[in-house]
Amino acid sequence: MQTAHRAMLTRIVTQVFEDLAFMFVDPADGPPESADGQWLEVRMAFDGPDRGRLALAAPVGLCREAAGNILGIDPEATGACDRASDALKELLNVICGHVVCELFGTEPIIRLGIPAIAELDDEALRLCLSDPDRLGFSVDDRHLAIALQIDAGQSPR
Amino acid sequence: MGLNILVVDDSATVRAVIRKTLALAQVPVDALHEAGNGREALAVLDGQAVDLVFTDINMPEMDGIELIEAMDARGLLPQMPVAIVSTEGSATRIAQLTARGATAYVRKPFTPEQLRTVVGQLMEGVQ
Repeated sequence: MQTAHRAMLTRIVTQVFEDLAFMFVDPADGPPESADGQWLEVRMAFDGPDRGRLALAAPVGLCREAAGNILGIDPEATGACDRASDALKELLNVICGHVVCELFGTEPIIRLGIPAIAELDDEALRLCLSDPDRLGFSVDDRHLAIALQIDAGQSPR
Repeated sequence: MGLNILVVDDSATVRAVIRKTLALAQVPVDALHEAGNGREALAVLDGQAVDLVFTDINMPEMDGIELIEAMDARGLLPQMPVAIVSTEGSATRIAQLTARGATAYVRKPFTPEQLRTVVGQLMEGVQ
């Protein structure tokens, strides 16, 4: 990931988590020491002057807290548990909307894909957290990771 | 007297947030209907009295653009105001949606004040 994109993505991720989920995330120095528990990953594609995709991975507990904050309910409440994956999808949806505006400006029409979510198995999680192109963030003692890939010059013009 | 509002978004979380935000903004609501895509929204519009529609753009099955076009084809526009609630920020897209019949645009994430302002503007336009 280009340095400029890293800075842009860092700014957008911290702002969206703060504005939407009322969570203050900080850039992580490295991968988490441990990644226990279930992790979810949401992926979303975009198609504009260039095509690309974003992927955001986070532990279920963090997703549940985000859902609780977004909805204004206890993160342990049934509603928050049910909405954990939905909250992660919406966070990436909002991040993606801001990322494509930064990348391409406000003139072109960008087609955004529908966010797709999946549970990461141990191997997928290991690959995710060891990917040098992923940006890591920490909130309290939990970690999340985001990746941006751009297929420059692939879109028909 | 309150408003009959239809919220269209494939995210149940977003629909809940809009419901909560309307309450925080003290928008008077008689009935709040929900739909997960444009097709479900049309089914609500067929059977329920609706004064105002909030819709996302990017949804499976039938997206917000297709919904607005279908509402226009059914003669529901412009008397039924439609506010786009989306993460998209393309000025070209917003102009396109306005030309098709959308009357307001709210970018996510939004505040209660923004939603209240939009509702006020939309209902003033109807009156």
